[in-house]
Amino acid sequence: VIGVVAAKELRSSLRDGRVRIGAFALLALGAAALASAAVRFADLSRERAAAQAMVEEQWVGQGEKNPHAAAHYGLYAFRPALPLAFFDPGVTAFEGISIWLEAHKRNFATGRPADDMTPLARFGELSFAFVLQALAPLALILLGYTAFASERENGTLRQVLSTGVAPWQLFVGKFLGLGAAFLLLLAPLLAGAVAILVVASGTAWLGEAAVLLALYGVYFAMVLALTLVVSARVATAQNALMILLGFWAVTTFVLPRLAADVGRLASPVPTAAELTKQIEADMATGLDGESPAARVEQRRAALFALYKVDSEQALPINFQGIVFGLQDELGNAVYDKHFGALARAIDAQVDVYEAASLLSPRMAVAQISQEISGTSLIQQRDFADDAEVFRRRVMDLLNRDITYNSRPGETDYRAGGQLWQQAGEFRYAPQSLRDALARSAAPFTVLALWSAGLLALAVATVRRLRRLAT
Amino acid sequence: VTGFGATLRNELRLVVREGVGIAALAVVVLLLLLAAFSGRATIDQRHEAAAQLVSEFEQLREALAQQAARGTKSAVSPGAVGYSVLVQPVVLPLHALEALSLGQSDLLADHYLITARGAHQFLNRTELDNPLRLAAGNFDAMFVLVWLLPLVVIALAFDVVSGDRERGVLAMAVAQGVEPRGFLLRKCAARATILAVPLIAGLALAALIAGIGAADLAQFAVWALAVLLYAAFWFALALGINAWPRSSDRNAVLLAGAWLVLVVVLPALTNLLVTTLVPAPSRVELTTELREATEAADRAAASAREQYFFDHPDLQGGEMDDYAYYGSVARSEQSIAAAMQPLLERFDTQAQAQRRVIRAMQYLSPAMMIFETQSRIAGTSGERHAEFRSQTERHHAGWTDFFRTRLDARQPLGAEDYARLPAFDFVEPPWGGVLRQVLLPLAVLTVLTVLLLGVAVTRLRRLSVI
Repeated sequence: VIGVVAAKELRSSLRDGRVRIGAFALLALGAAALASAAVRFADLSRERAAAQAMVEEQWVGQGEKNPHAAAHYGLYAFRPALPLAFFDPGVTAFEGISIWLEAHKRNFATGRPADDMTPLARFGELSFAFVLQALAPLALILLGYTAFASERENGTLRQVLSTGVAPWQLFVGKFLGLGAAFLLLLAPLLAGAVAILVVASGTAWLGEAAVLLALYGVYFAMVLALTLVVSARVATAQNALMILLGFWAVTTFVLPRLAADVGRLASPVPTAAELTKQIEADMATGLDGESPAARVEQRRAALFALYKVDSEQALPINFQGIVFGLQDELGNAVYDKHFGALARAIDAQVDVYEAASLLSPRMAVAQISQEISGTSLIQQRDFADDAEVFRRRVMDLLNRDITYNSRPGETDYRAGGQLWQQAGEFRYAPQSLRDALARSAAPFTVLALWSAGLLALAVATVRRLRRLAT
Repeated sequence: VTGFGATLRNELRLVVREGVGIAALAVVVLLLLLAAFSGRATIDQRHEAAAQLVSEFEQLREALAQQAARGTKSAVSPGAVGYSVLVQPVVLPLHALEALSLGQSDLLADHYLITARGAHQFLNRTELDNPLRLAAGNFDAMFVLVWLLPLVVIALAFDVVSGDRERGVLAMAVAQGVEPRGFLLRKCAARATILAVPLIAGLALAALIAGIGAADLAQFAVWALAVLLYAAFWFALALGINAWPRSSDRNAVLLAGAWLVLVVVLPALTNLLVTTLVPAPSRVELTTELREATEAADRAAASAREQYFFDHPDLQGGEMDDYAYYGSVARSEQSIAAAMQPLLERFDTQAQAQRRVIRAMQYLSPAMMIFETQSRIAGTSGERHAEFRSQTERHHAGWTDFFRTRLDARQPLGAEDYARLPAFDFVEPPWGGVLRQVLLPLAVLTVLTVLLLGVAVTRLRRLSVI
């Protein structure tokens, strides 16, 4: 019986002119989003890799220099364009693409793609993830809002139920039929997306792709179940449509912006000028009440005692390297303190956002989708943290070279390519699927809650379907 | 059921009983007020931050002037002051209406921190923010009005004719000898009133919350007029769709489709088209070019330094004198700036070209027209920011020149020089010009609305009542 119901729903959906127009529009938009993103991603990925290689070549080929001059010249870390960014760009447009790794300073990433966006981009960029998260549910709603309501309005619902079809069979049949119609419509796009991914990066990201497919599958099933429940419970098809559209508009467009804004008001981020001022103040005074100069003096005295000498010239090492090291030690602690505070302020905003996603399955899906695609806020931060670890390692290497390989007071000491090569290359290793899944525990919980709630609602609706039929 | 008052009461009762439309209206007005409050908080914070920067600069300027009067070395050196000590905040003044339409203002810098160093040093500054928030988009009055208001209009008007036909009210009214077109027009007018009164009240309250004063009243009036026009367009569209005999839920689907196309899809597609046709230059290239230019300048400076000590063997092993040192810094900065200038200009020209294409394509969708219009009126448009950049760059040239001439002439700074530092005053693009630019989109929107109303009224004459 379920099969018969499903086949009937599938047939009548595919025959419906409105569904055909909608399907065509969705296909066209999805294809446009995919094609443009695939092209852009290929360019980006090539360009960033080339730039990273070029910067490393410049570094190794910078010729003979004092290591500290090389430290000020520095290196750059370019954020790699990960393959799934074409699918879900996440927050990548709103983070800089490169970080200058120089002496004494932790810099912010610069060159945000968003700075070159058109103002229209704030309407919502047409990414494939946007098509799936925002537009596909609308298609589902339009496909299914009449499923029970219209049949009730013209009396066929009671007829069908009186022929011995169990309410649950009817519900499941409609669910499967409409779901199949929707999947048929979406299948070419999903196949296209997977094909683009395989062309771009082989099979390395197929695990992520499978998780994403499952995620969106669950999401669509939830939207369809909700549509059927509302269609069965609300008096008229027209009201069912209004309620579903309202739900869609609020959860898709209003809540994300509202939650982000409430978060911003609740936990403001310091301005760049404030942050710079605080960092400079801490650099000048030191963090633990001991001035940086006093710390240098202490170390000098300790070294003089150790080597039993009474002048820097008599030391077997170059004290200047030690001074640079002490400066960096303080600098690192100061940057940890202030970057940590900034990250906490932003995390508090994200907490509000995550709490709001309890009300919006779309927000939960978006968070997981970004996490799996490697385009989430956390992963952008992870990149910056990795780059900082690399910077500290390189600076440490250069300071040590000055300390141990140059004579005291030797200001015209030069090091060469061999030392630059020892610094190594910066390669950002994207996080594993397992990490991404572990970080998505909260949004997964939200989806589980919604699924359980919808299932309960569907069961209750099926139980009452006979009464609702009149 | 013949007078307008009676119709209004009837409609009010009907709308309240149906619930969805009136609830949506209440929610949107509430969101509008919330957005105004949040916008106000945002620009208050920005005001405060800018005032803080300016006052710190003034304190530093004063302190330096006093030190210069005493002859302190670091305060009289035009090189040290211009190239490292003194940072001038150049601030874009805030429009009061910015609280209502933030536009790009959370992405584009509202101030630059300039020194005598090259423009590339300050032009790429970005403010700290939560990328997740930026990606979600602003929650401002503009968002509520451009995105959500049409949905409310649709919820209130999608069945304005079809509902009465379905309920048989229309047939009954005609049977009682009521002229159907007059009846329907009164009914539409009543619905429009039910929509307009809370909306206008909401806009007025939002203006109060946002702190719009008497000085900005003209701007606000045009801004609010545009909102009302936009609402009128959606109302007229609903009427136009109602003028054909279709079921209410069919009408609702059509209107929802129109909303999706006009508010979501067309702007996104336009954006896609613009960024494909006129792509922004590469930021990666900017980074690598800056690096090469810096390295080249460093090499030149190093050889100049060698030359200096060759020319001044007596100073060998010591420090270059202040003027010579900062002279070489100035030359480095100049050569880096010269290398970067064409690249930076390419960003400006591309952005300008993008804006031109968007200006032409806005007519595809009322949502885009309103977005363009509102950001222009509120001063959060790309054009005003481009103007700010170019005025900043001109001012920066003067600022650099101020220190460079004194550096080259080896002329120390005196206390009076600090009073003569070039000041930045943003010259607003004239309001008349802004008004002229928004006139065409507003006129187009008016014509569209009137056309739709005309079609609806003409069709209603021949409408079947059952």
